[in-house]
Amino acid sequence: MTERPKLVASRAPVPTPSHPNLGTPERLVSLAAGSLLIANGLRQGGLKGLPQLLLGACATWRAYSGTCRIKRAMTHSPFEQTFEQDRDWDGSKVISRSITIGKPREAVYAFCSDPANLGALMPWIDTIEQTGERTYRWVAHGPMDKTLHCDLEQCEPKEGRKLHWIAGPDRRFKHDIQMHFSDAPAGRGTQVKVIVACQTPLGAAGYALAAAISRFSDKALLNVLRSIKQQLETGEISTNKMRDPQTKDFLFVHPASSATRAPANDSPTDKSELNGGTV
Amino acid sequence: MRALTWQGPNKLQVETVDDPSILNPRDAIVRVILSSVCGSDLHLLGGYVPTMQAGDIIGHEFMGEVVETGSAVTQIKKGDRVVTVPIVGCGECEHCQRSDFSCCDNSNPNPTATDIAYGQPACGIIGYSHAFGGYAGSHATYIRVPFADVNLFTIPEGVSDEQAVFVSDAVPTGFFAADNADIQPGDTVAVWGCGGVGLMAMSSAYLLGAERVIAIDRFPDRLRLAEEKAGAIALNYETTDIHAALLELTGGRGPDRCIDCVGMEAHGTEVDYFYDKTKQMLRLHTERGTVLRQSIRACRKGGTVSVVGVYGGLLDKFPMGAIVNKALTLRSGQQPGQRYVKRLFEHIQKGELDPSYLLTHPMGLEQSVEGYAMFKEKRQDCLRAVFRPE
Repeated sequence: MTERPKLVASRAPVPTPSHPNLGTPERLVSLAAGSLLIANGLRQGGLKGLPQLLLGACATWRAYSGTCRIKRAMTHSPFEQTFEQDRDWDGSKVISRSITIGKPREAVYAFCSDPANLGALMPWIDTIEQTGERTYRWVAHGPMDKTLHCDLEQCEPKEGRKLHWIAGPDRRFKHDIQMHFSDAPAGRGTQVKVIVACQTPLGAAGYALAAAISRFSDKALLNVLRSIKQQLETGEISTNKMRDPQTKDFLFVHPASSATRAPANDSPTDKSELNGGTV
Repeated sequence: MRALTWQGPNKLQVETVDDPSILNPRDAIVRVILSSVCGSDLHLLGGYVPTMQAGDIIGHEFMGEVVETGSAVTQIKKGDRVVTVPIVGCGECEHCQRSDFSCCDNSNPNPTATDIAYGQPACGIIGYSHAFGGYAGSHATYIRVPFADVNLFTIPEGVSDEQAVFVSDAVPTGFFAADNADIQPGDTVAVWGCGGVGLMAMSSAYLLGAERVIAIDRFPDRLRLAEEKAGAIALNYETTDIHAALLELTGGRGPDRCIDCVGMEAHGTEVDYFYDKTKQMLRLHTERGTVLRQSIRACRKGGTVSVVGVYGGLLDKFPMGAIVNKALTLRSGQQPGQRYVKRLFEHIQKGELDPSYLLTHPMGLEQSVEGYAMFKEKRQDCLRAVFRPE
């Protein structure tokens, strides 16, 4: 029997009265608040009292049933909980995307292991500077002409299977990025699964904020993975522009002491066709 | 160059825009010789397809001459007279390798919109909104065609420009509809919609072995063409109870294969049409499902319903119960014309197929706004207005 993989997509179970997700103190608070709202709503009456009455009824039902969908939405997923235990983080928000690329695993791994290849496919990245043997400074242009940077350290890779980066230990909010590579069935190439985790501060509020931001991150991740697939399968990135906008000027900066870099990919095009270059 | 641009719902304008240039090694630039309106453009025009932006060049059914090629283009060369399949395939992904070009993974530069709407990104389509890639369309002097070796086809001798232009979309879409219907010898095929695609689906059904084709529409000129050019039995749904007529014509069985060449702006005379129209106007759903419901209801048990009419989003009152309990097969898709173009040219060369009669109103690009109005309002028996950019 095939072992069930640990899914990032797993969620906390849907609460029911027989399997409540509220504790006794939460139910008591909800009951008290609901009673007060109903009483005040009845006292005020009219259009002002109606919303209080409805809200009070919801709070009372919440207390009676012991179930709360909002709390469920704010509950960290089983994957996130495991991740937090492993990393000793207070909180985390994890997103994941997978894609199948019709190229051998070795070729896909080699392409992805070179940050210069990845940076060239991200329009918002200006430069990647290799600052040490395994450390890189990614510089992006943010909103309102702000320049943002992120120092990433590459962990020991599992050759051909896994790439792993973590945000520098001095960063306030840690990030953990993993790319897992496996053979797709029936010779369909390589399955790439990316898991991006960020540490969330400030409890539930921080988690809610991270969840909101992750919706944009998820789309960015989709675009990056699609671009990797396009580059490796077709040798180019599809565009709908009429003319070359000449705005992408990506640079990969090597340390002065190093003249070598990760092996080049065996994609159909050479580096000069990646809309960027290296120095 | 000059181009016909979408400026808002039911608002088009011919204006001067930048010429396209080669941006990727597998691109080609084509000088447009003929570019046709298409029924699916009316969905864009009416504002039913979201993600259109003011200034977008529309048009996707065209032929022309190659004037420039990228460094990696090997099959197509400058000076070739070509037709383009507007459903863009890359030729490399697993779907293209299976000849399912309309499922291409790599041709849509904007994957997020359809990823949200459909669960996975759709392919790119020339001149068909930013959800499908935002590619500039063909109602223009020049157009950039991505993955030229996959999507451009040299037009052989003996095929005129007026025939070739429809091998871009109307003919392969019609042929795909018939092919998808899995027509068996002796089958009766009912086709809803007698526009360019519908007429080509009827001819294709005969090429694939149908014994009898029934055409359904409401415009007398189109029904006449269905009878005269496609050899169909024509039914006007404004004067005929279509369900009863289809049963009457098939000994109570229903058509073996039903083909929907109408899509999201279906018109009807029954209450469901007014229900759909109201919900569509209120933006509560996106599709009018009159034709789908009729075809599913009429189709014989165990038959096939093939859908090439364009649907974009959500449909209410979809008769899933009939599909399950009559064991129907429902097949659909954007046309993967790359599969069929060479075969279709052979049919044209042998005289078995002649789509040139679809071209009823040739005109210059500067008259294209009027051309669309005429096409939309079905004035002067306009089946297809085709523009010739100067």
